[in-house]
Amino acid sequence: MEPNDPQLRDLLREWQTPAISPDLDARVLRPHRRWSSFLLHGSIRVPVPVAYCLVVLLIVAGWRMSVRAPQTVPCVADCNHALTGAC
Amino acid sequence: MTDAEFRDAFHGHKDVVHRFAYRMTGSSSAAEDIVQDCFLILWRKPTAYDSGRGRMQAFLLGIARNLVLKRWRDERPHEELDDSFAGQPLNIREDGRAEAVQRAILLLPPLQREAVVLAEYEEMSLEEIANATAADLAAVKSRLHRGRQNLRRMLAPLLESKGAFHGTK
Repeated sequence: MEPNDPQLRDLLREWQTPAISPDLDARVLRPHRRWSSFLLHGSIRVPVPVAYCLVVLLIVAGWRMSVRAPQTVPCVADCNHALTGAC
Repeated sequence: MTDAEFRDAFHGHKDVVHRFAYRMTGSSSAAEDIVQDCFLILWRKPTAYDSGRGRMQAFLLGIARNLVLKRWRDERPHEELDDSFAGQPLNIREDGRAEAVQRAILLLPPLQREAVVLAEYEEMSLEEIANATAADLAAVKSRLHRGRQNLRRMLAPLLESKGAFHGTK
């Protein structure tokens, strides 16, 4: 270290830094999890209207699948009119 | 770098990076942004740190220094980082002593300021400062010398009164 001036150093030490705000730890440590960790332990927030729409869509999709399924089976087995389109 | 190692690095070095960033910028919010960005860089590219080339603290201070200088260049694109600044004695009557010191340090050109901050507040050796600032030893000595000279000039009223008070003038 270069020879210095103790009087100057003492004076400079009178300028103190403020404390770090408590939320800095959260800002730095919280959002930086790896993807592998997120896939195992992560969670996401879904707004209620979006969740409601998803539930309605699932119910409608399920209902349509259950209604369609019985119509297609006999046609494949018994149809002799494939060329006329009467099936 | 594992989560635990990153947390250890953060808890072990956040204070020194924050002190440096605060004394370089004079702003709490800017200093905290720099600390956050500094550790984000470490998290994204931990292999950039080579323990054979110096301590983690010097590595992080080097990152923080680059972030500080980038901000400074963005805010003052036409000013030199290390110009021929010659400090004049400050008018200190309306200021407290700590505020006067803050004002004087923030008036220094950035390269002189970083040398003074690292030497006087963080008590780093010239070699450590050269390592953290990617400068050669002669440049660091010169910046530190000019920085101290400028501070002595700007803070002369306080140094004189303090010397007289303690009988050491």
